[in-house]
Amino acid sequence: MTCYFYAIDHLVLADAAMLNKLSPFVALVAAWAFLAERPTARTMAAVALAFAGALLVIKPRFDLTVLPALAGFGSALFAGCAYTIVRSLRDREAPETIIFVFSLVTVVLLLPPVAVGFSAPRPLDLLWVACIGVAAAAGQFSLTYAFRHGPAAEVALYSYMTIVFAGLIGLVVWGETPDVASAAGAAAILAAAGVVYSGARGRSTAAKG
Amino acid sequence: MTALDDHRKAVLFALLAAAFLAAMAAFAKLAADVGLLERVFGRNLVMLLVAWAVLRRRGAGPWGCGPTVRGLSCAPCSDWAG
Repeated sequence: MTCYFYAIDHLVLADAAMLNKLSPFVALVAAWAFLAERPTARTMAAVALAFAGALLVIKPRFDLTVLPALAGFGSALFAGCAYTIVRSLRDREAPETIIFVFSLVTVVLLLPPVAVGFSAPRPLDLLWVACIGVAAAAGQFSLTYAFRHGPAAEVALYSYMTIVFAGLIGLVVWGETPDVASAAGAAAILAAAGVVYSGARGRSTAAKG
Repeated sequence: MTALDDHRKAVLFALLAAAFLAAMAAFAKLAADVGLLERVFGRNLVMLLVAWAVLRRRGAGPWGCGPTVRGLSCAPCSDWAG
Protein backbone atom coordinates (compact mmCIF):
# COMPACT_ATOMS: atom_id res chain seq x y z
CA MET A 1 0.00 0.00 0.00
CA THR A 2 2.96 2.30 0.68
CA CYS A 3 4.19 1.67 -2.88
CA TYR A 4 0.68 2.35 -4.21
CA PHE A 5 0.37 5.65 -2.34
CA TYR A 6 3.84 6.66 -3.59
CA ALA A 7 2.72 5.91 -7.15
CA ILE A 8 -0.52 7.87 -6.58
CA ASP A 9 1.52 10.87 -5.42
CA HIS A 10 3.68 10.95 -8.54
CA LEU A 11 1.60 9.49 -11.38
CA VAL A 12 -1.67 10.26 -13.12
CA LEU A 13 -4.32 8.66 -10.84
CA ALA A 14 -5.55 6.29 -13.57
CA ASP A 15 -1.99 5.07 -14.28
CA ALA A 16 -1.41 4.29 -10.60
CA ALA A 17 -4.77 2.45 -10.39
CA MET A 18 -3.94 0.58 -13.61
CA LEU A 19 -0.59 -0.68 -12.31
CA ASN A 20 -2.13 -1.66 -8.97
CA LYS A 21 -4.87 -3.62 -10.77
CA LEU A 22 -2.19 -5.95 -12.13
CA SER A 23 -2.31 -7.68 -8.74
CA PRO A 24 -4.83 -10.38 -9.81
CA PHE A 25 -2.45 -11.35 -12.62
CA VAL A 26 0.44 -11.49 -10.16
CA ALA A 27 -1.79 -13.62 -7.92
CA LEU A 28 -2.36 -16.04 -10.82
CA VAL A 29 1.40 -16.47 -11.24
CA ALA A 30 1.95 -16.70 -7.45
CA ALA A 31 -0.82 -19.31 -7.13
CA TRP A 32 0.97 -21.33 -9.82
CA ALA A 33 4.29 -21.02 -7.99
CA PHE A 34 3.12 -21.50 -4.39
CA LEU A 35 -0.29 -23.22 -4.48
CA ALA A 36 0.44 -25.48 -7.48
CA GLU A 37 -2.64 -24.11 -9.28
CA ARG A 38 -1.59 -24.59 -12.87
CA PRO A 39 -3.09 -21.87 -15.12
CA THR A 40 -4.48 -22.64 -18.56
CA ALA A 41 -2.69 -21.49 -21.71
CA ARG A 42 -5.44 -18.84 -22.12
CA THR A 43 -4.79 -17.50 -18.62
CA MET A 44 -1.04 -17.33 -19.24
CA ALA A 45 -1.67 -15.46 -22.49
CA ALA A 46 -3.86 -13.02 -20.54
CA VAL A 47 -1.12 -12.54 -17.93
CA ALA A 48 1.40 -11.83 -20.71
CA LEU A 49 -1.02 -9.34 -22.29
CA ALA A 50 -1.59 -7.59 -18.93
CA PHE A 51 2.15 -7.29 -18.27
CA ALA A 52 2.68 -5.98 -21.81
CA GLY A 53 0.01 -3.38 -21.03
CA ALA A 54 1.86 -2.53 -17.82
CA LEU A 55 5.04 -1.89 -19.82
CA LEU A 56 3.12 0.68 -21.88
CA VAL A 57 2.07 2.44 -18.67
CA ILE A 58 5.50 2.17 -17.00
CA LYS A 59 7.42 3.27 -20.14
CA PRO A 60 10.73 1.82 -18.92
CA ARG A 61 13.67 4.23 -18.90
CA PHE A 62 17.08 3.97 -17.32
CA ASP A 63 16.64 6.92 -14.95
CA LEU A 64 14.86 7.78 -11.72
CA THR A 65 11.75 9.14 -13.44
CA VAL A 66 10.56 5.55 -13.81
CA LEU A 67 10.57 5.05 -10.01
CA PRO A 68 6.88 5.97 -9.34
CA ALA A 69 5.69 3.59 -12.08
CA LEU A 70 7.93 0.85 -10.69
CA ALA A 71 6.45 1.55 -7.24
CA GLY A 72 2.96 1.12 -8.75
CA PHE A 73 4.05 -2.19 -10.25
CA GLY A 74 5.63 -3.14 -6.91
CA SER A 75 2.29 -2.47 -5.20
CA ALA A 76 0.71 -5.03 -7.53
CA LEU A 77 3.46 -7.56 -6.77
CA PHE A 78 2.98 -7.24 -3.00
CA ALA A 79 -0.84 -7.18 -3.24
CA GLY A 80 -0.80 -10.20 -5.58
CA CYS A 81 1.29 -12.18 -3.08
CA ALA A 82 -1.05 -11.10 -0.26
CA TYR A 83 -4.08 -12.26 -2.31
CA THR A 84 -2.38 -15.63 -2.75
CA ILE A 85 -2.04 -16.00 1.01
CA VAL A 86 -5.66 -14.88 1.51
CA ARG A 87 -6.71 -17.40 -1.12
CA SER A 88 -5.06 -20.18 0.86
CA LEU A 89 -7.07 -19.04 3.94
CA ARG A 90 -10.46 -18.53 2.28
CA ASP A 91 -11.88 -21.93 3.26
CA ARG A 92 -10.84 -21.52 6.89
CA GLU A 93 -11.50 -17.89 7.82
CA ALA A 94 -14.28 -15.36 7.18
CA PRO A 95 -13.36 -12.30 5.06
CA GLU A 96 -14.07 -9.98 8.01
CA THR A 97 -11.59 -11.92 10.13
CA ILE A 98 -8.92 -11.76 7.43
CA ILE A 99 -9.43 -7.98 7.09
CA PHE A 100 -9.34 -7.60 10.88
CA VAL A 101 -6.13 -9.58 11.36
CA PHE A 102 -4.44 -8.05 8.29
CA SER A 103 -5.26 -4.52 9.51
CA LEU A 104 -4.22 -5.32 13.08
CA VAL A 105 -0.83 -6.66 12.00
CA THR A 106 -0.08 -3.70 9.73
CA VAL A 107 -1.22 -1.17 12.37
CA VAL A 108 1.05 -2.79 14.99
CA LEU A 109 4.01 -2.96 12.56
CA LEU A 110 3.57 0.65 11.44
CA LEU A 111 3.03 2.09 14.91
CA PRO A 112 6.74 2.48 15.85
CA PRO A 113 7.89 4.32 12.67
CA VAL A 114 4.75 6.48 12.65
CA ALA A 115 5.14 7.32 16.36
CA VAL A 116 8.82 8.27 15.92
CA GLY A 117 8.16 10.84 13.22
CA PHE A 118 4.73 11.89 14.48
CA SER A 119 3.57 15.45 13.97
CA ALA A 120 -0.06 16.45 14.45
CA PRO A 121 -1.77 16.58 11.05
CA ARG A 122 -3.93 19.50 9.99
CA PRO A 123 -7.66 18.87 10.47
CA LEU A 124 -8.21 18.75 6.70
CA ASP A 125 -5.43 16.16 6.28
CA LEU A 126 -6.92 14.16 9.12
CA LEU A 127 -10.25 14.22 7.30
CA TRP A 128 -8.63 12.97 4.05
CA VAL A 129 -6.86 10.15 5.91
CA ALA A 130 -10.13 9.13 7.57
CA CYS A 131 -11.78 9.19 4.13
CA ILE A 132 -9.02 6.91 2.78
CA GLY A 133 -9.84 4.40 5.52
CA VAL A 134 -13.60 4.63 5.11
CA ALA A 135 -13.39 4.30 1.31
CA ALA A 136 -10.94 1.38 1.60
CA ALA A 137 -13.15 -0.42 4.12
CA ALA A 138 -16.30 0.24 2.07
CA GLY A 139 -14.53 -1.00 -1.07
CA GLN A 140 -13.20 -4.11 0.63
CA PHE A 141 -16.52 -5.07 2.16
CA SER A 142 -18.45 -4.30 -1.06
CA LEU A 143 -16.07 -6.61 -2.91
CA THR A 144 -16.58 -9.30 -0.27
CA TYR A 145 -20.36 -9.08 -0.66
CA ALA A 146 -20.04 -9.06 -4.45
CA PHE A 147 -18.04 -12.32 -4.32
CA ARG A 148 -20.66 -13.73 -1.96
CA HIS A 149 -23.50 -13.05 -4.40
CA GLY A 150 -21.99 -13.67 -7.82
CA PRO A 151 -19.46 -15.63 -9.87
CA ALA A 152 -15.89 -14.71 -8.90
CA ALA A 153 -14.67 -14.22 -12.48
CA GLU A 154 -17.45 -11.75 -13.30
CA VAL A 155 -17.03 -9.83 -10.04
CA ALA A 156 -13.29 -9.60 -10.68
CA LEU A 157 -13.96 -8.23 -14.17
CA TYR A 158 -16.28 -5.49 -12.86
CA SER A 159 -13.70 -4.59 -10.22
CA TYR A 160 -11.47 -3.34 -13.08
CA MET A 161 -13.89 -0.41 -13.33
CA THR A 162 -11.63 1.09 -10.63
CA ILE A 163 -9.33 2.15 -13.50
CA VAL A 164 -12.20 3.90 -15.30
CA PHE A 165 -13.49 5.57 -12.11
CA ALA A 166 -9.96 6.68 -11.17
CA GLY A 167 -9.53 8.10 -14.68
CA LEU A 168 -12.78 10.05 -14.36
CA ILE A 169 -11.88 11.39 -10.90
CA GLY A 170 -8.40 12.34 -12.10
CA LEU A 171 -9.89 14.16 -15.08
CA VAL A 172 -12.56 16.03 -13.08
CA VAL A 173 -10.53 16.88 -9.97
CA TRP A 174 -7.00 17.40 -11.34
CA GLY A 175 -7.59 17.70 -15.08
CA GLU A 176 -5.37 14.66 -15.66
CA THR A 177 -5.49 12.78 -18.96
CA PRO A 178 -3.49 9.59 -19.48
CA ASP A 179 -1.22 9.69 -22.56
CA VAL A 180 -1.75 7.45 -25.61
CA ALA A 181 0.65 4.74 -24.37
CA SER A 182 -1.12 4.60 -20.99
CA ALA A 183 -4.53 4.41 -22.69
CA ALA A 184 -3.24 1.53 -24.84
CA GLY A 185 -1.86 -0.12 -21.69
CA ALA A 186 -5.24 0.23 -19.99
CA ALA A 187 -6.94 -1.33 -23.02
CA ALA A 188 -4.49 -4.27 -22.89
CA ILE A 189 -5.06 -4.81 -19.15
CA LEU A 190 -8.86 -4.61 -19.51
CA ALA A 191 -8.69 -7.01 -22.50
CA ALA A 192 -6.59 -9.41 -20.43
CA ALA A 193 -9.20 -9.26 -17.64
CA GLY A 194 -11.84 -10.03 -20.28
CA VAL A 195 -9.85 -13.04 -21.51
CA VAL A 196 -9.57 -14.43 -17.96
CA TYR A 197 -13.29 -13.80 -17.40
CA SER A 198 -14.38 -15.53 -20.62
CA GLY A 199 -12.17 -18.52 -19.79
CA ALA A 200 -13.62 -18.82 -16.28
CA ARG A 201 -17.16 -18.41 -17.60
CA GLY A 202 -16.53 -21.12 -20.19
CA ARG A 203 -15.29 -23.52 -17.50
CA SER A 204 -18.26 -22.66 -15.25
CA THR A 205 -20.76 -23.27 -18.08
CA ALA A 206 -19.06 -26.56 -18.96
CA ALA A 207 -19.19 -27.67 -15.30
CA LYS A 208 -22.92 -26.86 -15.08
CA GLY A 209 -23.75 -28.47 -18.43
CA MET B 1 -34.14 -14.28 -3.68
CA THR B 2 -33.92 -15.24 -7.36
CA ALA B 3 -30.67 -16.00 -9.17
CA LEU B 4 -31.09 -12.83 -11.23
CA ASP B 5 -31.40 -10.75 -8.07
CA ASP B 6 -28.21 -12.30 -6.73
CA HIS B 7 -26.47 -11.58 -10.02
CA ARG B 8 -27.61 -7.95 -9.98
CA LYS B 9 -26.50 -7.63 -6.37
CA ALA B 10 -23.06 -9.00 -7.26
CA VAL B 11 -22.67 -6.54 -10.15
CA LEU B 12 -23.87 -3.64 -8.00
CA PHE B 13 -21.50 -4.47 -5.15
CA ALA B 14 -18.59 -5.00 -7.57
CA LEU B 15 -19.20 -1.59 -9.17
CA LEU B 16 -19.57 -0.01 -5.72
CA ALA B 17 -16.27 -1.60 -4.68
CA ALA B 18 -14.56 -0.25 -7.80
CA ALA B 19 -15.93 3.24 -7.10
CA PHE B 20 -14.89 3.15 -3.44
CA LEU B 21 -11.38 1.93 -4.29
CA ALA B 22 -11.00 4.68 -6.90
CA ALA B 23 -12.22 7.17 -4.26
CA MET B 24 -9.62 5.78 -1.84
CA ALA B 25 -6.89 6.48 -4.40
CA ALA B 26 -8.25 10.01 -4.90
CA PHE B 27 -8.31 10.68 -1.13
CA ALA B 28 -4.74 9.35 -0.91
CA LYS B 29 -3.72 11.92 -3.53
CA LEU B 30 -5.59 14.67 -1.69
CA ALA B 31 -3.73 13.74 1.51
CA ALA B 32 -0.34 14.12 -0.22
CA ASP B 33 0.91 16.39 2.59
CA VAL B 34 0.63 13.49 5.04
CA GLY B 35 3.56 11.03 5.07
CA LEU B 36 3.23 7.73 3.21
CA LEU B 37 3.44 5.56 6.32
CA GLU B 38 1.00 7.81 8.19
CA ARG B 39 -1.53 7.45 5.37
CA VAL B 40 -1.16 3.67 5.29
CA PHE B 41 -1.38 3.56 9.09
CA GLY B 42 -4.54 5.69 9.08
CA ARG B 43 -6.13 3.59 6.35
CA ASN B 44 -5.48 0.34 8.16
CA LEU B 45 -6.54 1.75 11.52
CA VAL B 46 -9.95 2.73 10.11
CA MET B 47 -10.24 -0.66 8.36
CA LEU B 48 -9.38 -2.37 11.64
CA LEU B 49 -12.15 -0.48 13.44
CA VAL B 50 -14.68 -1.25 10.69
CA ALA B 51 -13.76 -4.96 10.63
CA TRP B 52 -14.01 -5.00 14.43
CA ALA B 53 -17.48 -3.42 14.24
CA VAL B 54 -18.61 -5.93 11.59
CA LEU B 55 -17.33 -8.88 13.63
CA ARG B 56 -19.03 -7.52 16.75
CA ARG B 57 -22.28 -7.09 14.85
CA ARG B 58 -22.06 -10.70 13.76
CA GLY B 59 -21.54 -11.71 17.36
CA ALA B 60 -18.18 -13.23 16.60
CA GLY B 61 -14.70 -12.48 17.85
CA PRO B 62 -11.48 -12.75 15.91
CA TRP B 63 -9.80 -15.16 18.32
CA GLY B 64 -12.08 -18.16 18.05
CA CYS B 65 -14.90 -16.55 20.00
CA GLY B 66 -17.54 -17.11 17.38
CA PRO B 67 -18.35 -19.01 14.26
CA THR B 68 -16.07 -17.05 11.93
CA VAL B 69 -12.66 -18.23 13.08
CA ARG B 70 -11.62 -21.84 13.24
CA GLY B 71 -7.87 -21.45 13.11
CA LEU B 72 -7.45 -19.39 16.27
CA SER B 73 -8.82 -19.71 19.76
CA CYS B 74 -8.79 -17.92 23.10
CA ALA B 75 -10.49 -18.19 26.48
CA PRO B 76 -12.28 -14.89 27.24
CA CYS B 77 -14.25 -15.03 24.05
CA SER B 78 -17.63 -13.81 25.22
CA ASP B 79 -16.60 -10.22 25.77
CA TRP B 80 -13.51 -9.77 23.61
CA ALA B 81 -14.68 -6.49 22.15
CA GLY B 82 -15.21 -4.84 25.51
